[in-house]
This record gives sequence, C-alpha cells and structure tokens, in this order.
Amino acid sequence: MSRREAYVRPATIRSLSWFVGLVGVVAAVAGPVYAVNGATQAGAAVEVPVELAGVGDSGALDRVPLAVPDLPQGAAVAAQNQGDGLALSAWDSTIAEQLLARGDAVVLGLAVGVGAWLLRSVLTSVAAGRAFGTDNARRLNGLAVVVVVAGGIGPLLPQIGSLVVLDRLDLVGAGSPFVMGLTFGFPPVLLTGLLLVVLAEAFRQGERLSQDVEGLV
Amino acid sequence: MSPADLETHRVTCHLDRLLSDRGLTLTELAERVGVTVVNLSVLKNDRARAVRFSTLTAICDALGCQPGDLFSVTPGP
Repeated sequence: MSRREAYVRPATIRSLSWFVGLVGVVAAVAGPVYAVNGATQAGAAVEVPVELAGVGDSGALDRVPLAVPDLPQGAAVAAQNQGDGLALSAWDSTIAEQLLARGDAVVLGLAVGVGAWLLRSVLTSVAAGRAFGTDNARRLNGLAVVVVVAGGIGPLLPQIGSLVVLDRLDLVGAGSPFVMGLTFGFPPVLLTGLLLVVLAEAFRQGERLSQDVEGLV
Repeated sequence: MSPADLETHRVTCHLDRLLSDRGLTLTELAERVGVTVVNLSVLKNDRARAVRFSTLTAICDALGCQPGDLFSVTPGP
C-alpha cells in the first residue's frame, strides 16, 4: 500500500521553489554581467585555458613563463596552474577575447536562469498537489535540453577564446608549446540530460494517468 | 482531441432528486459517505466521468437506494 503522508510538506516545497527562483534570477543576471565586466577590461590581461604539448602532467607545474617573440611592450604571457589545468594570461586583450574567456559563465548563468524558471513551475505544481498536471513533462524535457546544450556549449567558449588569443600571439601551428583543438566533456552532460528525459517520460505517463482519472469520484 | 472528448456518455445522475426526497443536503451526505462535497457536486451536476464502486456503495447505503435509482441512461438520438 502506498504511503499516505507526504515526504515533504507543501510549504517546504514552496520555499524551495522560491529559493530556486531567486538563484535563477541571480545567475541569469550575474553571468552576463560578469562577461560584460570582462569586456570593459579589453586591453588588460585575459586568462584562457591551455594545455602544454609534450608535458606529461601539466598539473605538476606551477607557473611557467613563456618567451613569445614580438610581444608589444608591457605585454606578458605566463601559464599558471589553477588546480584544474593551466591558464594562459595575456595582455592587450580584445573585447572578443574577454567575452569568449568568460563565455562559460554567461552560458552557465543563462542556463541556470532558464532551468530555474522551468523547475520552479514544476515545484509549484507539486506543492499544489498537481504534480501530474499539464506541462510538467514538457518542462522537464526542456530542462534536459538546457542541460545538454549549455553543458556542451559552455566549456567550448573559453577554449575558442584560447585559440583566438594564441592566434593573436602567433602561438598556433607547428612549434607551438600548446596543444591545439577543442575538448568535449559530453558523457556526464549527456547522462544528466538522459536522466532528465527519463524523468520527463515518467511525468508524461503520470499526466496520462491523471487525465484517465479526471472526473473520477 | 483530448481523451475526455472521446468519451461521451448519456448517464444522468439523480442525486439532487434523491437528496430532496430525503431532506438531506449535499454537505450532510458528504459527511455520511466520506466523500468531499466537491466530488459529490461533480457527481450531482453530471460532470463525473467515473464512479468508484466503494463510493457508489457508500452513497446507496446513505440514501437507502440502489444504483439504478441514482443513475439512468437517457435515450440516444
């Protein structure tokens, strides 16, 4: 026999819905603001992720100064270990480079904003006792799309930024100390998206069951 | 087209007449039967699409009637 008592009180779910909404608004604003702030710093240093070629464990390095020919006076290039890989810091950045370097924050912020908007609607309907009302399955499916798209595109933007910076510093091509190319971290993102789609399917079946018993006394 | 549109029926509920004959209100019946006033209202106003046997049994016991007294099928077109 199914449990009659709620696992979570509706008031708690409504509070969570409010908190999720707040996080979404903050993230949706903070991400683009962070990128625009970076764009206002065009001309200053920009940091982009890089990977050193021919180095077995880039994580073992701390700070590697690089000798780059024909650098403008006052410009400097150094690769610094940030714990999750090396970052190239280069002066005289352009607006595009700054935006690309912070592009992952924009994508993440907007994704969290959209995701929170979708999730908040689901939570509100659950709190109202209408978990299998219309549109929740569609919202969860939309959340899966947001996760996959943002998870795929977000990490790529700083990598594209690094290629642009390396190209400006003439550090691309044969002889470059850096590995060229883009890396994708799709498996975890795809798995999360797939789980959300499965959850959406469960809600879709619940909607059908709910419609079947609509008007049942 | 929703599933509701596909399911048409000609079942009419006579709950209002049975309540009137026995001098009962919908609220009193709801208390006796253990069904919400909202659901009984849905039933009384012919907006119900299905009735649980347990609910039907409880209503008939409370009103002292048979299902055939509660429902009838109107003639078709």
